Amino acid sequence: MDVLRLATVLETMPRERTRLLDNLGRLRREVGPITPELSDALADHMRLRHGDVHEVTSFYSFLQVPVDAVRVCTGPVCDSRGARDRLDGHAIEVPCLGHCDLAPVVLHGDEVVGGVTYSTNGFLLEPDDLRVPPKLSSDDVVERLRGSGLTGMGGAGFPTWRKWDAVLREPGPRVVIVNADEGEPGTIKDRYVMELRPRLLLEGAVIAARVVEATELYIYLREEYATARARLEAALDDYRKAGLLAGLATSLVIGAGAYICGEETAMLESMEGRRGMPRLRPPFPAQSGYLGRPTLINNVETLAHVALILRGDWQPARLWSVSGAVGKPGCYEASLDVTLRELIDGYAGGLVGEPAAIVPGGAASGILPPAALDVPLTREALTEWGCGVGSAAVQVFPKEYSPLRLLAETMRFFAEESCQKCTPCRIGNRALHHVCEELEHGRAAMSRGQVEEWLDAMTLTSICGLGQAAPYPVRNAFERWPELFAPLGPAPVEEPASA
Amino acid sequence: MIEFTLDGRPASAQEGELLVHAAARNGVFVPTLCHDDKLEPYGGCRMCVVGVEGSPRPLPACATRVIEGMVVSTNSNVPQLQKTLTEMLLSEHLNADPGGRPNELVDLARELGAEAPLILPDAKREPYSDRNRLMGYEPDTCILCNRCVRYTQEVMQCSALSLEGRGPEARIVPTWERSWLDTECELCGGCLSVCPTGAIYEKFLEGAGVEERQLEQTKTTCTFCGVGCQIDLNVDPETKRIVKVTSKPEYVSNEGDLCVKGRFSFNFVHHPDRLTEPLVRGEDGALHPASWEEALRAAADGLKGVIRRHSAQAIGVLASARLTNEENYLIQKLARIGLGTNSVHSCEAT
Ligand SMILES: Cc1cc2nc3c(=O)[nH]c(=O)nc-3n(C[C@H](O)[C@H](O)[C@H](O)COP(=O)(O)O)c2cc1C
Ligand code: SF4
Ligand code: SF4
Ligand code: SF4
Ligand code: SF4
Ligand code: FES
Repeated sequence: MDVLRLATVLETMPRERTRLLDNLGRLRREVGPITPELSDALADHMRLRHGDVHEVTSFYSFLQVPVDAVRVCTGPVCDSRGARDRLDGHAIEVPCLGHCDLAPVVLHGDEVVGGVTYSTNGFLLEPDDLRVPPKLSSDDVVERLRGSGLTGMGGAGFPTWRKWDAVLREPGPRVVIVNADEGEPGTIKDRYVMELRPRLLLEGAVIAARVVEATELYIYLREEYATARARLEAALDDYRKAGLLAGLATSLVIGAGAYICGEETAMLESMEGRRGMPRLRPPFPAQSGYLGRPTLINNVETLAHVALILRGDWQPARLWSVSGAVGKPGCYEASLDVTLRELIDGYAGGLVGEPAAIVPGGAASGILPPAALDVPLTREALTEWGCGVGSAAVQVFPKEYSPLRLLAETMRFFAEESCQKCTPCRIGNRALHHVCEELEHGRAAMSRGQVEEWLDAMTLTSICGLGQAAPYPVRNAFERWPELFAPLGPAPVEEPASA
Repeated sequence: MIEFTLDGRPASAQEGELLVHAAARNGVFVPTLCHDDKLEPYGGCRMCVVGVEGSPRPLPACATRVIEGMVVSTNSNVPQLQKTLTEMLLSEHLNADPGGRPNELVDLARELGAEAPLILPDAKREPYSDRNRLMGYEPDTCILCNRCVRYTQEVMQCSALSLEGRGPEARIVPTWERSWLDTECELCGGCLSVCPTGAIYEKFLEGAGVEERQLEQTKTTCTFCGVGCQIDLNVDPETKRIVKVTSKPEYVSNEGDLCVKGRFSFNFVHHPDRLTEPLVRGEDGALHPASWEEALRAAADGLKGVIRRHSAQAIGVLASARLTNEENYLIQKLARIGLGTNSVHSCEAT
């Protein structure tokens, strides 16, 4: 360790606990992977306990890894395209890197091996000019959002106007956070927005800040998105020069490898310099968020739509990330009620080979059989199939990739990304991953009845969306491919108790 | 007071009271594992979930405050959920109950008739051992309730224990897995006192051959300093020896918290060299047993002799840090009025 360098870097580091993650990320880049000695040195500098910094450091996947490490994505799409063959002794395995259109994906340091290409349409292809947001009263904006019917694109699908309205009702100072932690497997849309239309995103973010009269704006960006970061920084510079950020303290917060930090309350914890473990609700972030202040948290794509809506040229639509066994994987703007077939044939170059399973909206959205190709991808229609639309990340898996393998990989992902806070998610996902792996060898680790009881407990008692939604793909697979689960024995006759 | 409904019956609670307490006062026991009244509500283990009308999911009673008119139920699906959650916790251990120490998870499993349907392949966490002689840690018994870590952060503020990592690798370890002695730990044993499973335990008890549940408790006051912490001496009924010291949250001066001396320094009680009666040095130069009266007189005579030969200014009085304020007051009275010297000091002042 270069002690002089460390001393120089430490001297420039702020001491507020809220800057802990940022300081750790900088230390890793400027001095080296966080070792116990570096962690202690930072703790002493920030007047924190050594253990506080240890806890936080160990929560993230990348802080103890060199910046030039080779990272191989083993998310489900990459796995289905042979990603594991690229793991050699040095590379580290990481969950979905958000470049599924280029699968299998390997990062060398910040660089995507083989470079990045885009396959897209619609507003993402329009010039990313800087526009001064229209001067409208807060009530007007909320009213127009309400009229547009816009709902959140981050996964939960909550009406956007309602959230803005709720934050406005709380006393200031208020905070706006852009959720740019895109980590839901299969989801690439926010990266497309940030790399191709960063100014449009900022337009939406600045509107949000003005409407809720926020004094601080944060963009929480996943660490793996280096290009998006550079483009956002350039766009922020433009905004600053144009005087559009006056009175609004704006900063980029860079994650360090933890899917759960995309969950809004985990994100708040992470930003406050603690382990990114979700909070209990109530209170909701709109009431008590970042440092206890009323906080508006919106997804990147949601805010891009807000800007388009207020520009007046918006038709209800969303960005669909399409990847896997299709001709032209990419990110496509299409209507909210598009069917899988329309998406795949009309935009994504058609199916390649025979599909076995299709994930409609990210890991927790469930798994559809090919029979659902003509179902409109709306919340209502998908509910009938026991699925959700999630973050609109359509992943097509060919018949060479068994649905059981898909399920096992999905459960592995949840198990590894579980923050550990609550029993049902921490243990349930590990057990289900194990059950799937055993089934691949024809063995039953648990009976079907027990599995169903465990799924119920996960849905009903998990703290956050990760554990609550993880049972979806399992239940779907039970229903669609019962033969794969035969060793577990018959399904219980009685409906398991529900809330 | 506010009114609410508990399992179909009217019940009352204090304004802002946690559901788990309100239920208990109304005769309904809700099991908890990660909850500790000393700590901020955490809601992690989920063992305490109860049905609340209007909520799509059951809510943790340890982190939910009663509000007027709330309709709460602990029957319907709650018993099944408790059983499943217990099974889950059991499946995380090769042996949930290795040391025969009191273990709330094992008790709960017995009560609910829960057994682990499987043992997770990654169940066993790496054993932990270190150089300190007071506290032991058995990772395989740990249920990651995080009580110990939260205690180190919220009460003791040593942060010497960490919840390390994420996912299956998550575990409790002293800072960077060092020996406790090389962390900011002061060996107060507080983290140990909040552990519901005995995963963190007193090393004295290892191999002591006593079933912890059979220990007899005697309440007394710690003699090591003027704080006067209230402690319970835990005595082995057979050998009549103190095997550990505990304290209770309801004890006023220390609310159940102790320091390393109060919690761990009791072995002197049984030391063969311990003085159990006054001794006075005789003409022969050796110490001889004496009554308190004789001993005090000998001391007073000695002091008087010094005053006679050298004046009172030759005497200085140093008070022990163990004394209370009241005792220190009496000491200075004794020095100034009794002995006639102003040279009086307490070592606590430095
Ligand atoms: C486990 C989990 C992960 C999440 N990850 C993301 C994410 O990467 N990006 C995102 O925008 N929202 C994510 N969310 C949803 C956020 O909690 C939150 O609902 C969203 O940012 C709100 O923005 P919206 O209303 O604009 O969609 C996640 C939720 C959960 C439960
Ligand atoms: S559901 Fe999973 S990720 Fe969410 S709080 Fe519980 S353990 Fe953490
Ligand atoms: S024994 Fe006391 S000082 Fe040591 S880690 Fe536990 S709570 Fe902290
Ligand atoms: S050591 Fe004890 S208190 Fe700490 S997390 Fe484990 S079971 Fe809970
Ligand atoms: S020595 Fe420690 S335990 Fe004993 S009274 Fe003082 S503070 Fe309390
Ligand atoms: S005791 Fe309530 S969640 Fe653990």
